[in-house]
Amino acid sequence: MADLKLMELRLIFHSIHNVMLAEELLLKAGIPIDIIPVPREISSDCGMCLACYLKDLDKIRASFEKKPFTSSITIYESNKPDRNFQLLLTLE
Amino acid sequence: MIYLDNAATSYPKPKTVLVALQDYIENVGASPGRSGHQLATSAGRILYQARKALTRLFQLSDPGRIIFTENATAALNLALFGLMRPGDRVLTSTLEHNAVMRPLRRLEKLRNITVDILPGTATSHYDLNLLEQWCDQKKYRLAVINHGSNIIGSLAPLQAMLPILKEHNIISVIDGAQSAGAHPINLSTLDPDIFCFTGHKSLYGPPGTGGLYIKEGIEPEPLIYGGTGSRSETEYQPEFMPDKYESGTPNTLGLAGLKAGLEFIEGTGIRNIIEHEKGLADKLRRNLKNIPGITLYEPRPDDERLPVISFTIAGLSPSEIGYRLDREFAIMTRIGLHCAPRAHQSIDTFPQGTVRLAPGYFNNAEEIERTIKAISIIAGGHHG
Repeated sequence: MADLKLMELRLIFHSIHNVMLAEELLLKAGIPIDIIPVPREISSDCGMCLACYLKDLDKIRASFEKKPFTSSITIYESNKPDRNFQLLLTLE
Repeated sequence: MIYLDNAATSYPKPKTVLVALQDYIENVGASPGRSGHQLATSAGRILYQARKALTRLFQLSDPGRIIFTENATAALNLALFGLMRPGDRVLTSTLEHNAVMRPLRRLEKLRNITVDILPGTATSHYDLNLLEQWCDQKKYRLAVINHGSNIIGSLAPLQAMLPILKEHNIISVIDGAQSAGAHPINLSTLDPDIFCFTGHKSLYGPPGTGGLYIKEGIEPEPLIYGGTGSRSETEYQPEFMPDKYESGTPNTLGLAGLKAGLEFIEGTGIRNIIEHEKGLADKLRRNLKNIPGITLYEPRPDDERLPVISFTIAGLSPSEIGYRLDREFAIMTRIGLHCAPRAHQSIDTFPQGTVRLAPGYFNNAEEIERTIKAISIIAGGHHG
């Protein structure tokens, strides 16, 4: 089962539409996710983001390849133990 | 009671639509994309799945190109007010609904646009040579064309018209209010720039739903700006889809119903729905033709058509006919000009209009027989 405390990545999508698309793609690929409020340290968006494991990053990027996201995807990683989020990469 | 006004709105709705509406109110209730909790996520899924269902119905690939509006009128307003610039020229037809003509007439005053109306009566096709000529001679920004006539059910020859428009770099806006769900529509092959639809007719959703497909690269100016649940740190409207065109709390309740309506179409099979409705409409046409005093307004014999039938009875006004059908026989129809005055002019039924019959999937042959009998009685009672 997905354990949020151990999930290092936060995937920010800018639109709930893209969150739903991502959820569908990652669940289909069998990649564990959680949908959670966007951490305030990252953004003041009202919406949701995806939490994922760092070890799944390559599989996640493969699942997102060529899919019709309507805006960029920003991926943050948290550095334990202080849980600050660092920008890891942006997918256009 | 026999409901034959499905061209206005479909009734009844599939039971699953009612279930979906209730399920949203009781078990979901939240707004999509506005909060970080499970109910908001469930609401977000409803909209996403509704977009996907529309994508499947119209044979598109990207649900992000589907925008929801409260009805087809709002969708058409977005397309027209969003794309027509001052001094532009627009091409349209004689068969348009006021949801097209009223925005265009307003744009004439507001932005000094020129409106050219391609002749084509509801009973005959457009002159494609004339269309080609006009497109060659004049520079059109946009063409807005009714797909299925709401007065006699004729279908515009989009396969032939759209390439002509495309060849001349004219933005194509198609009004699919009557055709979506009632006729097979492949937007990937037809490839219009914008296709407007309503949720509450042949898509079986509740009123308050509708929208448009906007092709990539086409960017109407939004009509409504506001909160989108995204990029809240900025006071500027997002540029990405679908948020750009969907400000404010959506009609998630209605879209839950629309989603169920679309699933009903998929489960039943659109071909089966079309065949059933065609059978009823053909039966009506065949039998009405034989009633003395009746004039039927039809597309040409070999033309594909929607199950929408207009008729008049000599010596009787449509109001009288409609009233009697309603009160004496409990048959619901729509009388008058059907918000398409010019279309009625083109078939010579202006200003009195016609009686319109629009059977739907939930009507049956027995109801059609009773309707034919009722109209015979009304016509017979009056006509010597």
